[in-house]
Amino acid sequence: MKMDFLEYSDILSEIKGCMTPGKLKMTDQNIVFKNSKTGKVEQIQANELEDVFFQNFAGSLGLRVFLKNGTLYRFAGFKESEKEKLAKYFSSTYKITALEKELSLKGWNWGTAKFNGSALSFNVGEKSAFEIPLNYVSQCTSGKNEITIEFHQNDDAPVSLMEMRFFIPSNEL
Amino acid sequence: GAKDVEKVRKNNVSYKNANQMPRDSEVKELKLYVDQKYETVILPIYGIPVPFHISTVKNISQSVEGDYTYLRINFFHPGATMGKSDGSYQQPEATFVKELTYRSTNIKEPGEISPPSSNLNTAFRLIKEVQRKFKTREAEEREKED
Repeated sequence: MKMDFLEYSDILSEIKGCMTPGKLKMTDQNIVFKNSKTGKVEQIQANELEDVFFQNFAGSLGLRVFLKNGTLYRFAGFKESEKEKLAKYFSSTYKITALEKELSLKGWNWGTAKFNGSALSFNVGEKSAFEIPLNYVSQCTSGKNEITIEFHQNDDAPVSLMEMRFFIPSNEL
Repeated sequence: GAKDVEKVRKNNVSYKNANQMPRDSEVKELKLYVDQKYETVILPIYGIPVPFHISTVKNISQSVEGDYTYLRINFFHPGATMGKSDGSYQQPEATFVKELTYRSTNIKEPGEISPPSSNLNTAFRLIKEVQRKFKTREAEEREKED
């Protein structure tokens, strides 16, 4: 059976550290997320899609959507049982194979920082531990063996990440 | 020699797989969570609850400024601890997360039992507790080896 579109009424979109509820609709033309709180609509054109991964977000199945222009979108709140249907939809509609992105759970604070489009990924071994969409960064300064990143604050988040500091070994500078 | 081996920090691992990750509401709500069983602090970083083993935490500090509570977590990294050579790190060439600072409001919304910052207060208390237990155990193990 061919699916013309997929629609989910209770999806969460990661916006500045807050899982923001909304509706997600996918058609052969685009992916549209409508923020339930603000009514704001985010539209991703189908031909802008670079790759899509399944990723676990705070205990629910999520989608990591990466665009050709380097923008990163993260949607969560899907049920594990919907995975197959989603994967089929991505392959038939967008010709994209949605693979699994596993996160590092080692608990280590050392690894490598990699830039991928407009996202910074901190990887432990082959897996990423976390990703920072760079549009959340308000300021970045460097000192001796050190990079400090400050973030835009989101008053909707129960706890908000303010600042992150990295130690960079001398041979990297 | 044997002494050099001993100096290398043991690489404690938080979780072997996703099934071991706690499913508590704090984790799902992207708040700070201290997993006492696995001696791990789970810190939310943009949609992802990120585990940090207690052995990576150097010290923490908390402050209240105006309507906000701040919690700062300092991690171990090379070149910082006096008397500890960089040889004690297995990957001294890596990039290290050195510090994370979280902020939360002290103001209760109508209907809330406790203000959002109570999460940072609880995390502060529990991190200290798990850290103390971990250090005690490590010291005991070192004594046994000697």
